[in-house]
Amino acid sequence: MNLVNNQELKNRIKNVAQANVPDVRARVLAQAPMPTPRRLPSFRLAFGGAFALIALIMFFVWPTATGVYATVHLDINPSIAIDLDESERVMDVRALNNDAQDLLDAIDLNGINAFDNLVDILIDEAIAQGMMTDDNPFIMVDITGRDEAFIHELYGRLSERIPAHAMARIPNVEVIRGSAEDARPDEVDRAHQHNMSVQRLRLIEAIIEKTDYDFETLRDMRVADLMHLAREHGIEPRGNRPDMTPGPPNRP
Amino acid sequence: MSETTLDHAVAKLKRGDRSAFDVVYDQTKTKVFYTILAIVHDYSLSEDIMQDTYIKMLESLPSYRRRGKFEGWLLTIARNLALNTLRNRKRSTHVDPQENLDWFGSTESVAESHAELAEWLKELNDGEKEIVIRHAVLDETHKSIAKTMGKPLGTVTWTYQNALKKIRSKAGESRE
Repeated sequence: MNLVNNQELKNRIKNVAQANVPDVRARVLAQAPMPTPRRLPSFRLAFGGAFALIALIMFFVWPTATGVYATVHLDINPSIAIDLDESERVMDVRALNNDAQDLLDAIDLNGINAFDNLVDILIDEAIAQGMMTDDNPFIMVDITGRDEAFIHELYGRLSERIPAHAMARIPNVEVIRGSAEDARPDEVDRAHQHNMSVQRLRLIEAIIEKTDYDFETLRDMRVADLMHLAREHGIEPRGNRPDMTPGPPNRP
Repeated sequence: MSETTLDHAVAKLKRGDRSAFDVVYDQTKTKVFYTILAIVHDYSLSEDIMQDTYIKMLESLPSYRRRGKFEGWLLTIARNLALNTLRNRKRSTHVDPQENLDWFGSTESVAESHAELAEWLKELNDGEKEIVIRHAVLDETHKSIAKTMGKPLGTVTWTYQNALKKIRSKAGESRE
């Protein structure tokens, strides 16, 4: 073999690699059902454009006229922040880490302004991308906002809706409820600074207190890994304790 | 094959056109397999995870909304399945990460013209193999590899060059 330069060697390595890929095509086709297209009812096709236009107006114009009423943090390891208005319309969706960016990259958010609908889509995609699994069945929900009743209702609904939606695929799904109502301003600031929810920050700090783990190691862990570590050391997130009634925090 | 061709095949597959799977599979199989191999360092295990990746892709395709690149979405599925498998293995068994697992499978499966080079690649240590695969096969930059592997950029560059040198040296031996 005459190896001329790095580029040629690189190309040859690539060729070897390609020739060495196992063929699983037949096994996949034998096991996986072919996708069946989702057919839209004709009235939905007819009015699709109108709905899309209304959705665009709701998505882009409405938020400018209103303030953020509540912020919902959903954390699996993809960590996502969702700003809501008073009518539970989605004003903004933010990826707080790389996994969340991967998750959101696969979703077309245009036209999705109903919060419940968005949560279902996020759960579906997290399961599809293998981020939420039997082994990582936890989703941490932390809600900050101004209206105690609004937040209480939202906690209650998400605690039921997420397991119900994921149940068929992840039977052991567990929603970890937040507890940011008594968050101190410095906790809120640190959570913002580290791009995470108050609940996640508190869990990490509780683990640091009882173990040798440092913040840098824990900050990128999945919620499942944090929960395993926490429970190994007798730590239960505050919102999950029987004596805690999840409620609103001091500010969104 | 262009990205547009892949996108077109994905759209056909989403509509239930079974023949489009071949195009999607052929276009993506190398990156899918080596993305997994670079994480689990085991040929047989990577083969199983590769199978699961395509099955999961087909199951999830009806709800896939085209926003980012399809290949990125597929590789994310592969990466997460590989990481989950690795976590499960580490939890249930004591796997020695330094164990020299079979990265390249059986050379019987490699075309005769490449068999010699495949054998030389087997001579590399795990760190060198991973860097060579990530750079030469997955087209990752040295900078990106350094970030993923948590190594200094200089170390990655040096290791890659050193690996190529080893391969050249083996090539020289075989010519003599």
